[in-house]
Amino acid sequence: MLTAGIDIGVENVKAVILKDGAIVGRGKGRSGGVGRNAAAEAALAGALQEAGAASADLSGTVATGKGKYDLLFADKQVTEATAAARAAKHLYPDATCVMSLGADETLVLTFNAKDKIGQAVLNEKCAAGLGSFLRKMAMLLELTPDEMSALPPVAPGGATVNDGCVVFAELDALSLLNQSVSSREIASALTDAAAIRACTVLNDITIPMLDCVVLLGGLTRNHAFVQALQTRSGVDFTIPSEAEYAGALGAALVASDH
Amino acid sequence: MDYKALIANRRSYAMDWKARTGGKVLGYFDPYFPEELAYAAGMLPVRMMAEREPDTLSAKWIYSSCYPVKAFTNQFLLGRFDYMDALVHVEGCNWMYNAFEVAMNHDPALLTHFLFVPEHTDAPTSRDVLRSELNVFKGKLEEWTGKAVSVEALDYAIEVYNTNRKLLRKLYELRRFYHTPILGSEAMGVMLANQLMDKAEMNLLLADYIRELEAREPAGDRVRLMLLGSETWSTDLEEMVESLGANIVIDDLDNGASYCWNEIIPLEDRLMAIALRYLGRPHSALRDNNWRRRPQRIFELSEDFMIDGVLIAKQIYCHPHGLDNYAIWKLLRERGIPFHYFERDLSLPAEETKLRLKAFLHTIKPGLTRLMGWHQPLNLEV
Amino acid sequence: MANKGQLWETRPLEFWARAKELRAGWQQSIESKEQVVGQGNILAIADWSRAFPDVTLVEDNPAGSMIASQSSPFARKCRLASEIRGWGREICGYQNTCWGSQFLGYQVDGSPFPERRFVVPLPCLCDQHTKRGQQVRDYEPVPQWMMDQCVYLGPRDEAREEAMIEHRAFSMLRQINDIERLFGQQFDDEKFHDLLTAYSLVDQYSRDISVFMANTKPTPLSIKDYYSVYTLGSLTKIDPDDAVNFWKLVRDEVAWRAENQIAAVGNERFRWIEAHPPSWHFLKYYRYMEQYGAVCLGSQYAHRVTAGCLERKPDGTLDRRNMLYYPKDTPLVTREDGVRICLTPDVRYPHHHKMDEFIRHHALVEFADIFQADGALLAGWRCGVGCTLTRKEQAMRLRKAGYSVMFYEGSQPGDRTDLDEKRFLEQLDTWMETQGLEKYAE
Repeated sequence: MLTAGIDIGVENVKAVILKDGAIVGRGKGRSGGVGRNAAAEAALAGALQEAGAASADLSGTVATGKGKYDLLFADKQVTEATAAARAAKHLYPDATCVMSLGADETLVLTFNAKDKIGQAVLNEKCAAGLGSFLRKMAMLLELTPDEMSALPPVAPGGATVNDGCVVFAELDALSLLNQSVSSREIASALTDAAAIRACTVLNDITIPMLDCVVLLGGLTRNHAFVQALQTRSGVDFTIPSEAEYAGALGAALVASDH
Repeated sequence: MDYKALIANRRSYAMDWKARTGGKVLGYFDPYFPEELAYAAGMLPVRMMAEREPDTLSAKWIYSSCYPVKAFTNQFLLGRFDYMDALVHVEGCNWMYNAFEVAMNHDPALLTHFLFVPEHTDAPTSRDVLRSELNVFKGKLEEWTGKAVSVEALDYAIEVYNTNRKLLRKLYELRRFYHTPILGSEAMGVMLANQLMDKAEMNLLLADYIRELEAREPAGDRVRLMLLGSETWSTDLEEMVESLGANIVIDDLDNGASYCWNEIIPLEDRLMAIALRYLGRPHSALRDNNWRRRPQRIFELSEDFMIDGVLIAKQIYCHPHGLDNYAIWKLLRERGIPFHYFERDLSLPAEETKLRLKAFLHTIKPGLTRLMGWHQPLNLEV
Repeated sequence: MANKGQLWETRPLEFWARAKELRAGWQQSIESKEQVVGQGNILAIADWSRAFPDVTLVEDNPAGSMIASQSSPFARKCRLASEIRGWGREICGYQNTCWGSQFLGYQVDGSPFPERRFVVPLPCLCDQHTKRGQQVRDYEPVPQWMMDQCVYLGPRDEAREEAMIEHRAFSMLRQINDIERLFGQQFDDEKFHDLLTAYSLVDQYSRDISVFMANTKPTPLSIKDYYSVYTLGSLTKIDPDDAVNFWKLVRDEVAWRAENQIAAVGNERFRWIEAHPPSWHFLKYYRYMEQYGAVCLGSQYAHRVTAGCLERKPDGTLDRRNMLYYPKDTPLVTREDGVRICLTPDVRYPHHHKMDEFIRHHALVEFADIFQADGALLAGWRCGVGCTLTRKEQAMRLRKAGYSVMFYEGSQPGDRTDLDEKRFLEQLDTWMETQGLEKYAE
C-alpha cells in the first residue's frame, strides 16, 4: 500500500511516499503564498517519480503543516503535533520527547505511558519564526546556509546579541556590523540567541522526559544551531536522517492508518 | 567612589556583611519598601538588580513581556540571589508580584512577606492602613530575627536613612550647577550602589565622595537632560548620552531622585513617621493615582535643574509608565520642553540608540538657561 | 471524520428573550441625557450608585470590548487616537479603546461620546485598573474618587483586615457624600439597604447556577451562553427587582435542564475551563471547540462575577467559599453598616478571581476539579497583566495534577490587535488532537 504525506510549511513543502512503513520517495520545493497547492503538487510529483509510482497508486494522502488546509487534493489534515509524534515514534520507538523546529514554529511533545502524546507545548509568539529569522540574518550577513551551519560556537567574551526579541537581536547585529565585527562572529551570536529562545520551549515542559529526545524539522540541517541548542539545553538529541521530512512522514503514516 | 566595583561585587559584599554582622539579607524590588524597618531589625535591605543573561528558564514560570521581570525570574532560578535570606514584595507592579511569587514558590526556604501599601495615598485612612501594615511587617521581622525591634533601633535606622537621603540630595544639588562636577552616569552609579549597601557604611563613602566632587574641576558645557521612564539598573544610557556631549543632570526615576527626595520627620509614633514618609514621597507611576502630581514635579525639576530637554526611556511593556506618558507628554508639549521617547529592554541597541539620541540633541537648543544667567554655582553648605 | 455524535438531548434557552429585553433597556438607560453619567467601576457586592435617584455608572470594560467586537477599523482608530497622545501600546485594551473613543469624540455608531460627569476608578488588584480613572479626569476636570483594593498573603489576620476595611469604608462614604454635595442628589439609605438584600438574592441564584454547571454532566449551561447574560445586574446596571426576577428565571431553567439532562452542548465529551475573560471579539472559539465535543465551563472570573468562588464543603457539597462580613451579624441600620457589608468581602473573602490565584496557589487546580474538567485553555494576555498574573505557574500545577493545558496569546480580552485567530484555532486543533479527539462531521 502506498500513501503520501505532505508537509506544507511556511517556507518549504515536503512530500513523502510511504510503502509498508518505509520511505520510497521524497520531494521538496518552496512554499508560501497563493501557489501552495501547486508547490505541493510539484513536490508530490517529485516524490512519486522517485518512488516509481503514479498518483493513482496512492491509497491516501494526508497533509500537515501551516498550509495544510490550502491543499486541495488531500484526503485528511492532521496537526503538526500529530505528524511529529507519529514520525518520531515510527523512527524511534523508545522516543520520550520530540522537539520539532520549523521555519515558523517550535513544538515540543512528550509521550505518556501508552505512547500517546502527554504534554504538548508550542512556542510563544515572541519565539516564533526562528528558522526564518536565521535565514534572513544569513542574507543580511551574506553567508550561505552551509556557512551558517559550519559556524563555530560563540567564543567566551565574544559578541552577543539580545536573546529575548528578534527585533532587538537584529539591531544588535547591525550595531556589531557597524563596529566592524566579523559576519561570522555575529552569525554565531545570532545562532546562539535563537538556540536560547528555542530552549525556552523545551524547558516549558512541566515534567521533562529527556531520555530520548528526537529532534525534527528543517532547522536540524543547521549544525551550528543544533550544537548551540545542545550546549544551552544540556540535551543530547537524537536526529534522524529524515528529520527535515518528518512532518511529511508522520502525515503519510496517518494516511496508512486509514 | 568605585561604584562599578560596588555594583559588580554586590554578592560578595552581602556575603561579607552577613559574615561580619551575623545578620540576614533581605531583597526587595519596590520603591515603597520601608527599608528603615528591616534595617532596625538588623537586616540588610538590598534592592534587586535586573541583569540580562541568557534566559532559558523564566518562560516556564512566568508569562511576562517585561524584560526586567523576566530577568529577575531567570536570576532567581539560576540562584543568583542565593545570598538573600528574605524577600519582601510591596503591592505595586503586578509583573513584579509574579516574579515574587515564583521566587517564593521555587524556594520554600526563602523568608517572604507581602506588604500592602495603599495606592490611594491621600485618604486620611491611608496612613492608618499603612501603619497597620508596618506593624504587621515589624512582627514578621521579629519572628525572622528572633528579637524585638526596639525604639532605639528604629531611631538609629531612621537617623542612618535620613542621613543617607541628605547626602544623596547633596549629590543632586551638585548636579544642579550649570557647570556640574558630576556626570549623570556617575550619579546613577552611586544611586545604584547605594541601594545595595549598608547605609551606615555607604554614608561614609558618600561623604568622602561629595568632598571629592566639591574639589573637582567642573565639566565644560554640556547639553543638560532630564531622564524619565522606567527604573534603571545600569548606567549605559547615561554613558551613551555623555559620549555625545550631553549630560543627564536630573531624573524622576523610582530608584533615582525619588528614592532620596524626602526624609522621615520624627514623630513619637515611629511607625507612623515611616508611613508618612512613604505616603509623602514623590510618587511612582503606580501610586500617582488620586492626583496627577508627577507632571507638576517633573516641571518643577526641569526648571530647577535648568534642563534643555527630556529623555523618556521606558522598558518595553512597562505599563505603569505607559499609563503616565499621556500626562507627561501633554505637559512637555504645552511647556515647549523638547523630549524624546523610546522603548528599550535591559540591553541598549548601541547604534540605533546613539542615532536617535544624536537626532534629538540636534533638535534642541542648548544653553538657553545659561544665556539667562542661571548658571552661576550656588554656595551649598550642608 | 466521525459522525455528529449527538450524545445528549439539547434545547434552546428560554430565558433568552427576557435577557434581550433587559439588555436593550440598559442601552437606553446609558444613552439617557437626564442622568448624571459617571464612568465607574464598582467591584462591590451591590451597585450603590442606584441608591441615587439620577446617577448612572458606565463601565469602560464593556464599552472598550464592545468597540473591539463591533468594528475592528474603529477600534484601531481609537487605539491610535490614544497612542499618539502617549498611552502605551501595552495598556489594557478595555481602556485604550474606550478612551480613544473619548479622544475622537464619538462612538462606534457615530453618536457623540457620552459626557462623563465624574469618575470612580475600579479598586482592583490589577494595577492598570487602579489608574484608569486618570484619563477621564485628564480629559476634562471632573471629580474622581479613588479606592484601594486591599489584599494580603498569609494566615487570616483580623487586625490587619480591620484597618483595610476602615480604609475602604472611608473612601466609599466619602464618594457618596461628595456625590450628594456636588450633584445635589440625595442618597437613599433605605433603597441602598434594599439593593443589598436584592443582590444577595441574585448571588444565591447565580451560585446555584454555578453549582449546577459544576455538578452536572452534561452541563446544562455552557459558558458561551452564560457570558451573554452574566453581566445583567452587575457590570450592566439594571433595576434590582428586574435583576432578582431574571436570575430566578435563569436559575429555575438551569435547574430543570440539569434535572432532565438537557445538555448545553449535545455532544459533550470533553470539559474544559479557562482562567480569565475570553477574547470578547472572538467568541467563536467556543463554537469551534464544540465541533470536538468540547464544552467550556468558564473561569473563576466568570463565576466570581456572579457567584463567588466555590469550594467543596466537608460534607461533599459545593458552596460559595466562606465570606467575611463586618461587623458580623450586625443589623443593617445605618449607611455605614451597608457600606461595610458592601465592601468587606472584597478585603479577603471570598477570593476575588485574581486574588484567588494570588493567595492560594492551587486555586485553578481546585477549580478544574470542582467543575470536573478534563483540561484548561489559558490565555497569555500581553497587555493584560491582571488577567495573566501567575498563569504559567498555574499551568504547571494543572499539568502536574493531570490536566492537559493549552495556551494562546493575544493583546488583551477587549483588544483584537494581537490575536492571531488562525494560529489560535490551529492551537485548539493541536490541543484536541493531542487529547485523541477529532472533529465531528458537520
